Amino acid sequence: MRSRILLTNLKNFFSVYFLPIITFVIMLIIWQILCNIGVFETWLLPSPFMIIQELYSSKFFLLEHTFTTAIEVILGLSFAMIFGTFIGFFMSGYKFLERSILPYVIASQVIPIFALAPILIVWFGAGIISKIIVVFLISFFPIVIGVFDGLKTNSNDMENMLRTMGANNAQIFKILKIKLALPSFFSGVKVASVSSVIGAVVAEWIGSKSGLGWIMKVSGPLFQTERVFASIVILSIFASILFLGVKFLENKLVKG
Amino acid sequence: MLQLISGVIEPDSGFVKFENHNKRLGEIAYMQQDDLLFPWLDVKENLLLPLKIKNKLSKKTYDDMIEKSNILGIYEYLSFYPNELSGGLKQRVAFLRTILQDSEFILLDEPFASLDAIKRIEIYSWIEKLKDYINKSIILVTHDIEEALFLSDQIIVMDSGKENFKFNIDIVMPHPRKVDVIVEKNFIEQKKLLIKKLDEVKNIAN
Repeated sequence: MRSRILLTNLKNFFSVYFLPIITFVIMLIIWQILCNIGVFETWLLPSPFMIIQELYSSKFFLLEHTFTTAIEVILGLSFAMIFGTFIGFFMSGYKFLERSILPYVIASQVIPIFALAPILIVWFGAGIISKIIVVFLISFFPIVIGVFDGLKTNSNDMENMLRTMGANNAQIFKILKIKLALPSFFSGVKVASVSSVIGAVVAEWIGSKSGLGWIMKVSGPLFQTERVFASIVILSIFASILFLGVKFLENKLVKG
Repeated sequence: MLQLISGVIEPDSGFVKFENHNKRLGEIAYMQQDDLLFPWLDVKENLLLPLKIKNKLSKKTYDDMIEKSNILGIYEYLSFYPNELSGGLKQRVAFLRTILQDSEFILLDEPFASLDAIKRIEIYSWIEKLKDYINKSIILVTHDIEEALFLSDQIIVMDSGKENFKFNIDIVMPHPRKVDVIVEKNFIEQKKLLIKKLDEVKNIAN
């Protein structure tokens, strides 16, 4: 039975990853050829080879700014996970808190981050704190809702069964509720992990002196398009690593 | 009714008594229609869960679990997760988990209703094998006449409504019962008797 499962997993791996990788490689080749034969002006759209060259020649410069953006994202996302879990937990447990807080949690998402970021920069300066707050605000909502919905999952039959086994409320929470909430929590964190990178870039774009968002902002007007693209590549890789890291944790902790 | 007996729901009036004393939640094992196995726990963890909750996990109870899982043919699946098991196996695991709760009374609420006829017959013979080890009072709710006749020593026929108790009959058949008992004369006669009584009750009601 196990070997059959292994074979199915292998088949799934090929059907899931093989085709996207092949498609990506073909697209890169076509892009490179179109740049080489002059269909695209390379100062407008640099070729994949030029972007790789830029990634290599400016590696230390890009790495330094990647570090800034990464710190903003990781700290903002971590705070959002801590506070989001906390608020989601209490909202699911106490009806009056749900009624008091939920409308404002939803309302906070209606405010465009582009409108809020300049004010935060005025209040907290162009340093890292305003960026962390922007990342926090953009990541907070999916995590709160994930925890809230997860803990509200209907599990009456399982709860009753645990009660007949003699479990108290704390044991039911530990054995059942947390485990049932985990998939929903991780869905929220996965959404937040990607949007947190967008939040950091937007905040850096509006007002900062470092970070990949800042590089993109200053390189565009100087026609250093290969540097803009190099930043985009790093951001994509960073967001993917973050997403896959969360997915890895999810696979480890959520079974069945 | 079983929810009332198990204590999951409280009666609007009156009380449930067992041999002159009230039972509390956790003292009566209750298996519902669905297997309700925890998908994130493997078979062994699922089986040991009630013992962990009651703080009764010891070498003795662990060995008991191993012994009974051997009898029920579950031993080789102890490291499997529920999604890797067939429907019949899941029910067997859920049944053993109920048995392992170490309660005086066991309530089974149509536990094999979702299984096909072959799997059901298979599970009956597993239960017969385990019967000597269980040695507890079991209340089984079923809509299946053959299941009731095969597994029980006494059948109580009930219906919905206020006067829901209809009749009871004792099943006179020695244990252990083998699967082919259902084609034996004695079994068929008792089945006829049960159907006749059910018909009488139905006619009175009409």
